Amino acid sequence: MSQPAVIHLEKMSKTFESGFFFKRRNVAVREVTLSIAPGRTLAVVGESGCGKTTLARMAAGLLKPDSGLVTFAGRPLPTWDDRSLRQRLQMVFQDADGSLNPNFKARDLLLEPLRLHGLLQGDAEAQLERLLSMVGLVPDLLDRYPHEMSGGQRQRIGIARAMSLAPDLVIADEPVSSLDRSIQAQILSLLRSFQERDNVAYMYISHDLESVRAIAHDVAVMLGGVFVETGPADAIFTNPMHPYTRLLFEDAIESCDARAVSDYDMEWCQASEDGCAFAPLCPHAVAACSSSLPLLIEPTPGRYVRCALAADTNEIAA
Amino acid sequence: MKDRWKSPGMLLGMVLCAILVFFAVFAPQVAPHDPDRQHLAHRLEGPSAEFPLGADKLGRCVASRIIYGLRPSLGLAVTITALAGFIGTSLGIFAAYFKALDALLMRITDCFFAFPGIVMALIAISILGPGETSLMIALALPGWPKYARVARSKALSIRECGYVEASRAIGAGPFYILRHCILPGVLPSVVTISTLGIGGKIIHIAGLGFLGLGVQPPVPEWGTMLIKGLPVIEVAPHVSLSAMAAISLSVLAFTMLGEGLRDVLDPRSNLSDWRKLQFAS
Repeated sequence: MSQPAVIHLEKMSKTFESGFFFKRRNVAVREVTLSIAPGRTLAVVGESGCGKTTLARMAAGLLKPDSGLVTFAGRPLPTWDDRSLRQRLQMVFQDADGSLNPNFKARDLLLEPLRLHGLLQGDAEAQLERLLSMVGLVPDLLDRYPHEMSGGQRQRIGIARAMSLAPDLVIADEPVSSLDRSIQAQILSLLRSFQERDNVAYMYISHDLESVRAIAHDVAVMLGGVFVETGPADAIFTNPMHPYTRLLFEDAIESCDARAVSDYDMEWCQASEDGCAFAPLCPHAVAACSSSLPLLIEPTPGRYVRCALAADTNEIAA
Repeated sequence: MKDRWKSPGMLLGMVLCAILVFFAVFAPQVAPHDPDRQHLAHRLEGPSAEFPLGADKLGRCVASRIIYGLRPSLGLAVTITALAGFIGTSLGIFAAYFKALDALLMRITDCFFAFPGIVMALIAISILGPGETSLMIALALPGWPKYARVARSKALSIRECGYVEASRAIGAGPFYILRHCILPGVLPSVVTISTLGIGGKIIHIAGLGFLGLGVQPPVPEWGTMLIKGLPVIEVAPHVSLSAMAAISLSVLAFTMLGEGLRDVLDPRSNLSDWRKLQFAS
């Protein structure tokens, strides 16, 4: 990476505890390290419950990590004042319905970020027109409430809100997973066009491999709160090394959906306290896999795999 | 949504409340007599064309006094409810949004809850002395915790909604979020319980008037009229009966309006299910 990273996460961990008398610990994210360079897209792939959203919320500074540090644009996140940080780091949410204030009309939703940051200069109508055309919406929509719009329209509003402040990084948490295939493609190309124009970086969280293939430069596969494999998207898609990634992609050929892999996800998360979360299902697992977390190894430059057997199993597969 | 407005109870409540407010505002125009004017020749006289609800011990027109009595009752009840609602709602949403304040604010609320409302009002009045201001303080003091509880529980659920986090993510401060995200969701319930609360406050005001601790004579007030009518109830029952009817009618009006509002604004409230169960059994 030639340019300095726009965001760097160093050994982020988060454990949730629940229950009053009997504490139940749920390790959501374990020692995750990642970097995203300007204008690049890192896709974090994994099934529900693997810690993707927790990671995204920590990266955005909406959730305090138990340990680890986020560095945004060269400065640690805690030293940023909220106002200037929120201007440069934006989020797009999965559930555009729930993430738009139901008490506001589209007009106010679109102008809200600019108003909050005191950037609304001159003619509000002109700004609205610019924002609408930016995301391909028609002005008829302006006087509607979120529940009166379609899912695609809501997500476009969500994207317009995020992009209106010209951020450096947008964390998109499953932005297209509740939409139709055809709308998904439109939203993804919209996101790509912003990247080409403004050199914005994306952290794209998804379980949908097809959309990841369409937008990501780099991919990180997440399982049980850890990254099991990271690397350039092309390399990972053509030659997945971790047994879990391979299973994910094989199944995904039919279903295009990482969620279809298994129903074991909850047990995986709970079982991941010590060993590799995939050990119970892995065809190549040995005893050591379930007792200690495998180290991250670098079989080829730029690719990291958290599996002791990755190199060998890779040969088996080949 | 539309047909919910057609519930007969709410319509009746709305009409009654509108009439009450109209009479309170235009009391000088609609009252047949000056409420303080003593027609000594007509003392304790029963209802007649000149005195629709008769006259009291001092020969004052009961109808006029009932109509003028609307002013302190309604005015104070609305003011007290607004005061209690404002304090309670603010504290409730603060407690829900700022987790650090939650325990402290809610324990204070519990303290106020633990105290019987009318006892607290009596203590407050005996400290402050009777009068309209002390009446307001005395009734708002035990009134606000209910609003704090309701506002907090509503705000707690709204706070977990996606759009609250989304607003934080675009850089909204806590007060902006409280004002634009949380308050709009809390208001329907607060409006509902305050409408129901106005009815309760009317009873309390009359009750304190009955004990001689409320609005002081010669201002016409229903509770005072009720107790003044009691000694003469055998010869002139119309005096206390009119006051009783006025109190019941106005409480009924606000309760019906409040229940109707609840069905419209809070359709999933289980209170209405509870009521249905009661009817069924």
